[in-house]
Amino acid sequence: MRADAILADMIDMTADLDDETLAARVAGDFDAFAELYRRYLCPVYRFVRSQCPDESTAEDITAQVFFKAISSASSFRGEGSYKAWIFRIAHNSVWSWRNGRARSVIAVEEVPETVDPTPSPAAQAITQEGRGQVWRKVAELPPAQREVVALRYLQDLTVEEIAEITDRSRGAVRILLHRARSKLRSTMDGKEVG
Amino acid sequence: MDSFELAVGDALTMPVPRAAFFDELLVALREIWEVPVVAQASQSAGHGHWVRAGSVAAATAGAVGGAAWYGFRRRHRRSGAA
Repeated sequence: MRADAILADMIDMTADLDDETLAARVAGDFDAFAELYRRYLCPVYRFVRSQCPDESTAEDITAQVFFKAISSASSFRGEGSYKAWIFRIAHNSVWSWRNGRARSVIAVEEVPETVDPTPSPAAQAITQEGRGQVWRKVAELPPAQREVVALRYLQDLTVEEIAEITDRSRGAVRILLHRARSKLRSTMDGKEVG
Repeated sequence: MDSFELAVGDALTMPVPRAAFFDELLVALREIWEVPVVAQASQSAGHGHWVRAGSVAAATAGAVGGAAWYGFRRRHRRSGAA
């Protein structure tokens, strides 16, 4: 079945349901999963892409996240948000890949070539070159700092949610965020922080 | 969030998945969803019996998902190279 046919088959009602209600239906209703996929493919891909060096790797890891999400759908018990659940899978997948590659720094030349054609009004004030520079600075952060930065500022998750996803204490997440912010601010001002 | 934090968040929104990737993965996910063991796990969940993480059914479903992912990756790379 083609992707457009799958999406055409989706019942419009699924768009009105919250994530957790959809997740509870995934086992017997592919449309429910397709709606979750539509909602989360882009956020998960962006998070993964911010943690790895190229588009091809990001696609591999993203695909792995969604295969795990659908094959383990019944392990989501609704105790937390679906968003936190799927980002925990993404976190685990990224770290599995990272441990396998023993890689810690994204090659700085790998600024994404595919760019969102519909930036937010705030984004329109920032030049493409400026966005690339910020991307590089984030890419140079240590992996743990880079991850919490992406979860906080890209996904707008709370410290509590990030702690749950990354299996760290809230204090540890706050420290990582503080260090990342200090480093980013300093390097963007042209001053290096040790 | 202040303007600095908004700029960081904005820079990270730069990449978007390719439309072809969205379509190919959705089709592959539909195929894996139709695998009996996943449907079986789904049915038990539908009756109010969540399959516990670590149970045989969940482990089997996870293995099926893993195998499907490797198959998808292999096909994906082959089609990308063609």
